[in-house]
Amino acid sequence: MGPRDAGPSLREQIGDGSWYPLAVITALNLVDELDRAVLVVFAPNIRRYFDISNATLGGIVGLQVTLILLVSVPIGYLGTRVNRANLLRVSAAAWATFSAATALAVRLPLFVAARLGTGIGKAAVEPVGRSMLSDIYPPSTWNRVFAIHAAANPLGLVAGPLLAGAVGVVVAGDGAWRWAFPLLAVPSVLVQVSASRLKEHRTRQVKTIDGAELTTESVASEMDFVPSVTRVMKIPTFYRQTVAIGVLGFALVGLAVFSSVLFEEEFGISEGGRGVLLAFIASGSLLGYVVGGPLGERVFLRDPKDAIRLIAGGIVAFSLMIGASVYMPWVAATAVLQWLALGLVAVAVAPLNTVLSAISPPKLRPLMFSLLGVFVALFGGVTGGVLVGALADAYGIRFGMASVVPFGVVGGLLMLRSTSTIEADIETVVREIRDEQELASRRARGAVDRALEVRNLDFSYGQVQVLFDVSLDVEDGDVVALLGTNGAGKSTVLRAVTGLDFPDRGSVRCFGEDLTYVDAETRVAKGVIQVPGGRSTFPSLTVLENLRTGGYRYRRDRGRLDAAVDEIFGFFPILAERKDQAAGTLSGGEQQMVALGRAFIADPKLLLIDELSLGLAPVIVEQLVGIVRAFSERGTTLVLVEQSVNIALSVATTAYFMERGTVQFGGPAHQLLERGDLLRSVFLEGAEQSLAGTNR
Amino acid sequence: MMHLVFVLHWPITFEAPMVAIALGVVVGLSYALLAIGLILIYRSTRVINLAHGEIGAFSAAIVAVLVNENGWPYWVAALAALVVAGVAGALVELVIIRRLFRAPRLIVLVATMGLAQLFLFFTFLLNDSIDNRLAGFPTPFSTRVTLSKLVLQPGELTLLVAVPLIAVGLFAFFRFSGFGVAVRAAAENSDSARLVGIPTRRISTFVWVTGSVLAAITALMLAPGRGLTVTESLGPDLLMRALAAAVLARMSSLPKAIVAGVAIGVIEKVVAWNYTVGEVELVLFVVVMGALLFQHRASVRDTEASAWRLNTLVRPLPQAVQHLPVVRSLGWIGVGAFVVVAGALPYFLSNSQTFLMTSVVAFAIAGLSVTILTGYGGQLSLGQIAFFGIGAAVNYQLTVQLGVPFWIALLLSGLAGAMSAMVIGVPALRIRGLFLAVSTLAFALVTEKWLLGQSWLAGSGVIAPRPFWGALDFASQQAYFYLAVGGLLVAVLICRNVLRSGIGRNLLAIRDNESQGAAFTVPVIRTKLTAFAISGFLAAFGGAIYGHGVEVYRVSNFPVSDSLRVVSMTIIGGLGSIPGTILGAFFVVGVDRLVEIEYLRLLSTSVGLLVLLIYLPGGFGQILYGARDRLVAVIARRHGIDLTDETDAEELDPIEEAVLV
Repeated sequence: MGPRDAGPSLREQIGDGSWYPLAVITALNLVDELDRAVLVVFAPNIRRYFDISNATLGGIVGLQVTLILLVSVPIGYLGTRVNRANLLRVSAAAWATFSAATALAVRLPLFVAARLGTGIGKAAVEPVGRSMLSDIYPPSTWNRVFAIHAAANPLGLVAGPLLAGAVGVVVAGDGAWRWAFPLLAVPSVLVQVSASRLKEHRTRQVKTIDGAELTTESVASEMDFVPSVTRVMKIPTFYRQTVAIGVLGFALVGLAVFSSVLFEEEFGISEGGRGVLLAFIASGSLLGYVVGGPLGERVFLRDPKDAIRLIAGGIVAFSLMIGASVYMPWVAATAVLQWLALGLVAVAVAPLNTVLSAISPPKLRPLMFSLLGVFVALFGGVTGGVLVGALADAYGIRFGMASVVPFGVVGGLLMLRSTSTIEADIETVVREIRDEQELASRRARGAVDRALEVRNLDFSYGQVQVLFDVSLDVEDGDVVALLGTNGAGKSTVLRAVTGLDFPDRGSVRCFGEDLTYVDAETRVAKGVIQVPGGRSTFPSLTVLENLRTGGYRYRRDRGRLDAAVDEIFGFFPILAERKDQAAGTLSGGEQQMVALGRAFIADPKLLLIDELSLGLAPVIVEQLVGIVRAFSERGTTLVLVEQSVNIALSVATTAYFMERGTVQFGGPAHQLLERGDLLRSVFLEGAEQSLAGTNR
Repeated sequence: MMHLVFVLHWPITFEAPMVAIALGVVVGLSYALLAIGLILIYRSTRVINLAHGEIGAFSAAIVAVLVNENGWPYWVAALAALVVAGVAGALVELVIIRRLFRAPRLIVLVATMGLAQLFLFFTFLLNDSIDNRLAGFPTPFSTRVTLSKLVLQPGELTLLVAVPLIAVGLFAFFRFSGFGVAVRAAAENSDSARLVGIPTRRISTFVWVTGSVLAAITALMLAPGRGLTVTESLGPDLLMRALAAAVLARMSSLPKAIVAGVAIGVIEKVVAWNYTVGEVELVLFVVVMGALLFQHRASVRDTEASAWRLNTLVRPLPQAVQHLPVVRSLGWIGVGAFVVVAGALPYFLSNSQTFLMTSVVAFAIAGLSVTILTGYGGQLSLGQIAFFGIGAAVNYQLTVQLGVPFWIALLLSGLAGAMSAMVIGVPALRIRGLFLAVSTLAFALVTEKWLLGQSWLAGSGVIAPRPFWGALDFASQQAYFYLAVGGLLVAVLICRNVLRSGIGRNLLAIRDNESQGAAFTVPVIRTKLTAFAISGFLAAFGGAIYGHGVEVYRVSNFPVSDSLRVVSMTIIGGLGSIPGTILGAFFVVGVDRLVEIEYLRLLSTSVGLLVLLIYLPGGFGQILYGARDRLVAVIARRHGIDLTDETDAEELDPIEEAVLV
């Protein structure tokens, strides 16, 4: 298949049997849009009924969106864990209930509450639905699938106002809106029923940079909330697109509300007329999706960077045309310009979804799409709604709407910045999938899982990258030394392994299990324990309390805990003497004993010790090293992070050497001792330099 | 009934009757209970929960509505309210606190202010019915106990029983249960706790739930005696007493918190028996300051101070471009743009809007005083509104009573502020971080309740006319706005020069590492006092401009809560950023007027504040500096300078961070 060739038609690729998920998920999107469209048309009436200003109405829209902000990410996370088909059904039902309840609101707080409720349903339906689409359908059809899914929005915007207009004709007067919402319950119940056969899809599809497609069985790996979100937010392309996405959000969320106000205030058009106008404008994006689906597919296949340029162009063109449209003297010109603007921005929507699907690790896609929703809501809904509303109150609706122009231009320019990162991001996703496949084939060969497998770790603190493509292997039962000078990144590797911090890229596996997106507490339960560097005791807790925290996981098993503590007292009798003393009052060596003892009580399978010897007297170090050996003999796998080569290599069989965030050496410990070039360059170079400095 | 009377014959008769003492004990127990809630949250989140009282008031309002309007039995309603309080606490932790896990504590403090407003909004929503207000706050039983002249109400009786029980229960929990010990461990060293499998986030949620339920219990017991209106907020004076008790207990010991709370209650009631309300605040202020000063120094941990420090986000310009004329003039271009905008502004605004802008400008000057003291000096003061008020009152006395020309009076008022700030700065040599914040808050309270009310300051209200100088008449809103903008420019100039001078270097050195600074012969005491003096000068200067801007004002124009607003505007602006502070003042003082319904205004400002803190922790300054760096990068490219090697230089030159946009 040549890159310029559009390839087989969607019908051929999807086949006959699998239209169903797309149809159902799109229908869910449609009923949601219907509800919103009806609200938009009746906005002025509702405003009059509750006697509120434009800014307040904008504020309510903003509040709904704020709620979406709060719940959608947790729901997206839920989508990575539970059966998404069920999640979709439950949230759609909740949504429908609240939507129908809008009609019953007699006071403003009740009205606000009903709208907030529909917001929650929406927060679930969108990201979960889209992530399912990207899993079910092959990547070469993504753009067209997303275009079809998104086309439900303008369809709703066309059908909604028509429905509203019809209600407005039948039930005259300001109370008409009360009849429209219960009517909506009919289609949503129908969709609920038809969604009953939807199934979760376990196979995930991935797109490679050259257009090839990979499929992966989703490995059931644990993922905790914070690390998952951190990971998605650290994808450079996504990070750079957030503002542009916000502008897109304004187009999709806020515009119709204010257009309706514009038509009423500036052109004096009644709700029936407004309904027709808004329906006409929305039909522009329908056309946009029809054109944009196949177009985006071709452009993305040619070069993902061009897809981003297409998105940026759509956003800029949209905002400029909206700005121009509000100052038109004739209502027809305004409507036509907005029709065009929405058509152009619609071309950008499907490629954006395609790009995001391509740069997101497949299992995190629900989260990615929920974050997309957050940024659409945050900038487009809250900021856009309140800002345009406030400006409209102060300077008129025209000026308010025109204020979108600078945001659109800036957003488009920011979108272009992500062209430089998209290829690397797609490759990262592909590489992670290949790693997973490699692990699977290793297992198939019957190899024992390694205690620790760090792959291609990149890590940054803010803007400063400190780890570059770090990979480590630690075999089960081994003692490994991780050496390097201050600032080489050793402790950061430990933080990533134990889950105190999360990498930008790469993976961490312990005993064959992928722990990259797992919290520190969960890793402890899997036997991954770290003795932190420095004074790591709890200073105001007594020695005994400190030790007992090590057995937090099995704190209800008093007998086991007491036995474990007694064992430590056997190793370090001095601690028994001081068991009721606050740990902060102990000497440095004794505190290190407490820290070691605490880790031991936590029952490690893989123990990582950060700077065991730092600042301690040789006698004490000797004693501690003895304990470490005892750990090792019991079968605990050990990773010792040290600056002191002698101490580390006296225990370790394998060594890694790090410098400036990269691994310079990995192999048997005795070989490292022969690598004078490495050791000297780091431990003596500074001295040589300063010597040279004084001579100069 | 025994009637114990101490009579001191010097300087005047002083009585301590049993009734006052008994009342003091009861009131003190309520302070103690509040203090325990504050300590709990503080232990886990390292922040004073300024929303503590509002969460309680919100729960109390639920009980009132359920009982008075819906006829629920008291205990069922109370249980429901406690559940709601717990859920609210959990939500607060999950949605706000957890996202600010790594943020400097100052940002979290401002976030709790936003939360306080949010709960106030919910309380307003609940309390809108008149019937409910007339019915009074419900009580579980109607027994009253009479001790001589003192009648103990049901709420007070429950306090007497419940507080010791709760304290003992919590104490045992933290001492003997595995989970309780884990809570303490997580508070001491979060990383170490996580590395033994203690779920610190879940513990944080647990603590916020417990703290909120405690707040609700306190409010339920306090509300019958105080009436519904008081339950709408904790109020700075109640907060201050609870905080004092908590601080005296070193933010850790629950038994000490009870003793301290009761002691404060007794002192308060005995002093109130003899003197007026103002003197009570004065005595309490002296007690708190004394206790803080004479507490063993080791109790103030250095880590505490550093957690409260908020490093300025101000980045230096890359050295390669600093010499370029375009880059050097960026600051002046910024000032020029500001002057043009400010000059044009009154032509687009109504008179009342211009007046609002004058307030914004005056508060921006007060915000700059925080920028110096907290941003550059690392000393957190919650008392800036006191200097603001003192400046206004002194300026009134000088111009109106003594006939000093306005311009000279403005300078002298600033000096008065500087002197009072130095007086309050002396304890700061010993007190740090949170404790300094508490002592300055106490100062603001005593200034509002006592000092400003003296007839030689603002008395019971003054009229401060606007100045005119020959043909120059500043009486109109527009003219006075220009005068205020002029004052702001002076303040900006002062800030900028302080930073570029030796004082600024010394300040930053001490902020970042006091002992090392001292080792390099930085005069610690003098530098700190200078920071307080300059900061006091600016705040008083802004206050003087504000006073003549509003023309008619009284003590209540300078409420303690405005101190918190002043700090929040610098945080919102991005601490350390001068233009950010001005934008922050506009956001805090000006923007909420855009929404015309009172309770929606509360909602929009509180939600706005929280969203801002979570998604833009560096405040507006973050955007400004981002834009500046982009701009400089473009300029550099045009001059053919490669900036990619400059990343290391950022850390080398902290002083140059003074050069602002």
